[in-house]
Parts: sequence; structure tokens; C-alpha cells
Amino acid sequence: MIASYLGYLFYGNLLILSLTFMYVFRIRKLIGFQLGMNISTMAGGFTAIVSGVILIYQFPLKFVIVTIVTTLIGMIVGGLFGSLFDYQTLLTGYGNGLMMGIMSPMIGAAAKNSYVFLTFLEGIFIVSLFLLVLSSKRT
Amino acid sequence: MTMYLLCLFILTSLIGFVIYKVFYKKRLLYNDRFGMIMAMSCSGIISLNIAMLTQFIISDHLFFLMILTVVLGGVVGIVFGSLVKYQSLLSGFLHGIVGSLTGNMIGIVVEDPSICSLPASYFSMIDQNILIFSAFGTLLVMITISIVYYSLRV
Repeated sequence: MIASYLGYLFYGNLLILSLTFMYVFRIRKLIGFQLGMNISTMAGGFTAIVSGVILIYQFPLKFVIVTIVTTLIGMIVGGLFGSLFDYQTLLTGYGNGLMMGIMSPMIGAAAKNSYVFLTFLEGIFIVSLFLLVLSSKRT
Repeated sequence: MTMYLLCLFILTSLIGFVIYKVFYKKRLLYNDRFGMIMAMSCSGIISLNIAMLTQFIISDHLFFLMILTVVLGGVVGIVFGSLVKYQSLLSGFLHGIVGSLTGNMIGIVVEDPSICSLPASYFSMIDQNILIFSAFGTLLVMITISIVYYSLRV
């Protein structure tokens, strides 16, 4: 029953992430590289964890393909947020997204389809994006 | 099978050695921030792949291998981090240990899928999964090292 709505949840996460990206893209000239490193690390890591858990709940029979796709998602999102500022922030976000994305399908498979855990991770994701916008506004 | 995994292991060690020599030759050119980020990326991905391939090659003596690869990851991080200044040594050490712990975890889960309660159809596909994961890890090492090497010119 709930499992048929997981795709919409994934789509909603990508929508919130692209809204945050457009907001940070407008004010990227005001942000120094110290905050840029933290922004790219946090966005890449949390997006990789949430999308890995959602994808392994949706397709529990395809562990290998889900691991590869999640690693690519983490690398691309970390690199995209890092490429707003500098080449070295790109490298930071890339490395951290890779490490988190290769780990997250194992966490999702060990949690055995528990929806309380998914709600908790979703709350962490939204709070982290809110803190990201807040700290980039007050800098 | 073992020959293929040994070839990938030697290739990873060779890539790490070559990139260390290139950075040692140019260590006076870049600042300490770039040194920190270089130590983070290189030591993390190289120690991840080495730990995963070691778990695939020797599948006995689980805990002894885990201790050995974690120490090896820490040594790789210290070697890459001590090129520029000693503040990048801490960052390289941390990411080397985290990378080798992740590599151990993924190696053990691929070899024994009942730890993560994966479905029973994986027990007939263990060899194929080992092939795919080792090739993917080596591909990730190549992509990361080429990006780090390209950043010397930017």
C-alpha cells in the first residue's frame, strides 16, 4: 500500500533539492569557500543516503544496480553543489557523496522495510536543507 | 577469478604509487588547502578499493584481515597527508580509516548476503556480484584519480 507512493517521495525530494539549488545559485557570489565546502558536503551526503534507502525499499531484488545508481547520484549532486563555488569544493562534494552513496543501500537493506526509519531520515533531510538555506542567507 | 582480482589489486596499488610520485615532484607548487582536499579524496577511495579486494581474495580470517586493512588505510592517509603540512595529515588519516571500514563492510555483505537480510536469490549470484563490484570499484579509482590529476592545471 505505502510502497506504491515511494516514487512520489523520491520525486518530491528531487524537487526540493532543485529549489534549494536555484536559491543558492542566485546568491553564490556572496558565499566564501569555507561555507561552500560545508554546503557541498552536506547536500551530497544527505541526498545520497535518502535516495539510497528509498530505492532499496522500492527494488529489493536489485542490490547491485541500486548501489551503482546511488553512487552516481551522490557524486553528481555533490559535484553540482560544489561547482557553484570552486574546483576544490567540487572535489570535496564528489568524494563525500561517493562514500555516503556506496554505504546507503546496505543501511536500507538492514532496516527491513521499516517506515519509521524512512520518516526519520526524511525529517533529517528536510531539516538539513532548511539549515543550509538559513546559513547561506545569514552569512 | 583469483587471477583477475589480483590483477585489479596490483593495478590499484600501481595507480596510487604513480599519483604519489607525481604529487611528490610538485609538492612545492600548491597551497595547504589543496593538499588537504587531495589527501581526503585519494586516501579515501584507494583504501576503500584495497580493503574490498582483500576481502574478496582471502575470504577466511575475517577479523584479522579487518584489522590489517584498517591499519593499511591509516598508513595510506598519513603518507598522502604528510606531503604539505601536518594539518592535512589528520584529514587524510580520518578519511583513510573511514574508507577502509566501508570497503570491509561492502566486501562482507557481498560475500554473505544473509547479514543484510537480502533475498535468497543472491546466493546463486555471488560470483557475478563479485565481478561487477570489483570492476566498478576500480573504475571509481580511475575516475577520481584523473579528476584529482586534472585539478593540478586549473
